[in-house]
Amino acid sequence: MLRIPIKDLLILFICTLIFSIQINAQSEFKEPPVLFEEPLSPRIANYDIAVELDSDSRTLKGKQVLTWHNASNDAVDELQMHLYLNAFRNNQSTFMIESGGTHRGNAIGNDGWGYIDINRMNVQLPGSSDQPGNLRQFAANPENPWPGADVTGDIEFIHPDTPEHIHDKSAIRIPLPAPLQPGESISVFIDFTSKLPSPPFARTGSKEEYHFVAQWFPKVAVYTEQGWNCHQFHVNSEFFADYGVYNVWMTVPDGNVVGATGVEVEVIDNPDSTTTHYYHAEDVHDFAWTTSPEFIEFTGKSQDVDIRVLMQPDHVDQGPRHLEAAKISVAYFQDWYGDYPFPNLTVVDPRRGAGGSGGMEYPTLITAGTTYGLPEGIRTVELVIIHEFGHNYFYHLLASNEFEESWLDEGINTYAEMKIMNAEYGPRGDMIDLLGIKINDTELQRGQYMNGPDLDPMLRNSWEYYSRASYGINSYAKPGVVLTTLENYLGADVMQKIMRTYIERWRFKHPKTQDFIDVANEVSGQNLDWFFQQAVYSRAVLDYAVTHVASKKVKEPSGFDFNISTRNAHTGFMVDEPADVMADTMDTSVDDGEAEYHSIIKLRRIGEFKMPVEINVIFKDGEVKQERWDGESLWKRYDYKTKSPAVSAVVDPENKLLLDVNFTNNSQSADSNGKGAAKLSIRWMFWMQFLFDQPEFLNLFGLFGSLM
Amino acid sequence: MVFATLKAGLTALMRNKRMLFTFYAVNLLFGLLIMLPFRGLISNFIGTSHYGEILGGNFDMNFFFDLIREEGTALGMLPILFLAGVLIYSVFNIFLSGGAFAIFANENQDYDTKEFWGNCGKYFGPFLRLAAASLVILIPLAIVVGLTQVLLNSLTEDAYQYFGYWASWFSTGLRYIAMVFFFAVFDYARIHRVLTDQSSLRTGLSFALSNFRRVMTLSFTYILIGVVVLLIYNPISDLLSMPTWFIILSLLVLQQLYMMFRMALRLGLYASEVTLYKELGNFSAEEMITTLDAVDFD
Ligand SMILES: [Zn+2]
Repeated sequence: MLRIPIKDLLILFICTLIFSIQINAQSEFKEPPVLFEEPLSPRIANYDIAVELDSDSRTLKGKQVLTWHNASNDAVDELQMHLYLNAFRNNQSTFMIESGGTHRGNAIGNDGWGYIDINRMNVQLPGSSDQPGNLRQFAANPENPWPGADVTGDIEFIHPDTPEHIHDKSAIRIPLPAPLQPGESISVFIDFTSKLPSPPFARTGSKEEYHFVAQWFPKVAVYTEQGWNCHQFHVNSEFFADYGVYNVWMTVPDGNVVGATGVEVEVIDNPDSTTTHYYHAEDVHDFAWTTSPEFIEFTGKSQDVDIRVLMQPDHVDQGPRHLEAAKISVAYFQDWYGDYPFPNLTVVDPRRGAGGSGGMEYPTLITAGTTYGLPEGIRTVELVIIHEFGHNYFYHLLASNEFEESWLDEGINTYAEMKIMNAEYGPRGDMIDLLGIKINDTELQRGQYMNGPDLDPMLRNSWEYYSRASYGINSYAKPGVVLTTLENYLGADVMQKIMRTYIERWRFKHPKTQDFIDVANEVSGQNLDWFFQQAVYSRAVLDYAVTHVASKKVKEPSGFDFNISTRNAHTGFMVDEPADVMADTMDTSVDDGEAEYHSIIKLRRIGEFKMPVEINVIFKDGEVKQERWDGESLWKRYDYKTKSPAVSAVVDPENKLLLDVNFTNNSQSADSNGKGAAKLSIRWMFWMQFLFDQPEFLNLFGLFGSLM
Repeated sequence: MVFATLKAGLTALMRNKRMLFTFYAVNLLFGLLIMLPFRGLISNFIGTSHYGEILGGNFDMNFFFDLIREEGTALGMLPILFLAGVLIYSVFNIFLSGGAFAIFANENQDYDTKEFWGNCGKYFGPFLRLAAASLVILIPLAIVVGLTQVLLNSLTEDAYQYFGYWASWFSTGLRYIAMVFFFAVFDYARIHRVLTDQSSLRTGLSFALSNFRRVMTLSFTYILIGVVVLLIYNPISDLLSMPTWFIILSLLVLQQLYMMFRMALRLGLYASEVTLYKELGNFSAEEMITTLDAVDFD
């Protein structure tokens, strides 16, 4: 007999219906692809975010589920997070107090403030009675009930670096209802609203319909052996974050092109004239995206990496140039420094008036920057793309703490950029090659470094440098110069191996300065601590100089025992001694019968920085004597007694010690050579004669200024 | 018409080589004067360094940054020196122009030392006053150029960059035209003064305005020739890069030949302008302006 329980059936029907609705809701969102079968990184900070952009008000409404894994050995009783956009909230933020409202030459607009507000935050600890929420579903459907405990009221702003900046809201702490044990994961459900600065400022923001969306969501800080490492957003600083998996649904106006970190999984047409782009990324530590209806897309491939370039309409003729630079970058970095494990790279060309979002790196997404009519011979586009792609190694693959050790990212990357620029566009004029003017990136970096070689040690907390210029010099140019000097000392092959080993070994592990030094010591097979101690931890300046080059004929020996006898001295009579008496007391290096010279060369170490250096002493007959000085003493003297006089000396003849702040004093001759001064003088004179006659030509400089 | 005045200018120039040398000598003198402190600074900084040899060839950026680091303050004085030089040079040029215009205004246009220097002296005072007065013309010109700039800026503020790019070229061109026009007014005012001995700024202005096309065509023809020759000069000078005394001397000779050519262009322009002015108005200023349209020279 079969009994049909109507009531039970009804319940079953309702349950099925509810289940199927859930299934439907779920199936609206495709399952994310698996990019890497084995995780490449410790996936500590994982995000699902659904965000809707209101283009006119440049506002983002987001739902976020952060799954944070406690990989430490501590029971963690609070979370700390960054609210980076609050740096642009008002002029009392740490960023604005430090910056005075400008960043890299861009000023924040009068009505351009941006912010991020957390409207609600729930945390769900393991073992909670709530269902482990379907995170993606929660993110996509705000109507779902909030799992976990509401901690919104417990959020507290913190100012660990500068406690006096009480109005700064760029960092928060959230006490947990109960400690999170080692190995456990916590889910954090967040509803937030962000407003992007306008025009784009300090890497992020909107200009009309163009949006570059970075530092835009509540982002968990890094829990280290010393506890939470969470800094306020400083003007002189970039970022530090843990790796994870990101699923991000970005809803933008119909017709907008979207570029983002990771790979696009699907595009969903919504009924309300919007489109949702779903991107998925694995083993990244940040997520940035951009959208504009005007992007024009160029695509290509370099080795195993798909490249996508999003150009502005007025720069469309430079699309191939951008693409080519990106291809070059990928090829050089993979060949020299190892595998870039991600499948793709997106290069974004910022809109006119949105330069504040240019020249920045995010995982698999970088921004460049150009102007209409930029001559081919000014290779800023190439430089920026090579540099920003390079960050996908040092900032992305290695992910050192840029708050505390900015040189590990910017600096090592600048060194790589200098090398690639020269390999691809050198040997002369790799950076500027225009109207006969040829300038290398290396020369410009050295020039930059020389603006303030001793303002600070290279390594400091980024907000503690003497000035913004000092942060710039010590994070970019100086490390570039330091590592080039080291390369010249060790040889290019050894240096290449150091770089490769460092990158291979420290992938996804947040290396510190000592880790780089350890690799350098190990690979080079020598203890280089003396070098790094001076270059990284001190502000010592390197300056060797030749200070004295002179040759005199060796004098015939004279005086007592030579041509005066002591026996007759008191009488004042001079008596010639026989030749064999003189011979006993003469310098044995002197040959009989030839014109002989005594040459004296003196070197000084003007700076505090000590480093072995080569010296060439050139003699009149063309002979070159090579010496090596350890540079330990303040000065060094070389004496030569030779047939031919020394005519000049050069310390560091090949300019290997790029750290030397004065190459001009590295050499001296016995006689001056007026050619250089003559050449420069007649060139100067000619242009003065020219401009005296027609000063109106100066007008053209204004043109160049306005076009750059 | 312009061709005829060009030819006349050239003819007059050929008969006045001495005048050409005088103008060139002053230009060279000023070049030498401003070169000396520069040379002192550079030679002192180079000392007996190997850069003495290296810089005899190509320019070296490492040296440049050394120089900025060590001698930045002294280098900062050079622009001031340059501005002072431009000012004093202009005064000298105004002085010499009296003699030049007077000779070119003569029927036979033959150079005569006494006449040349006499007229330099004679017209120096009036020309200086004229120069001071002519600065007034700069005000409306600056206003026109400035307003155009403001208008272009507002039009291209958020426009695609090619608008801004071409607007930059346009406003640079406009600024340049304004300056050339200003110099032309000053030239014709001086010419009028030499021809009629009457006060002349307004006449010069009226003349340049009512013959705008011809006046500017003439000026720009000379400018164009100068630019073309500069474009020829530049690659040749780049070739002269070997660090030998012979090559450096060759460069110097080439440079000075170019400067002499530039002086020839200046005097040629003066002579052509005198011809144009004489052709277009042999009489008093008032008559000249009223009869302008009736005269056809094409
Ligand atoms: Zn960078």
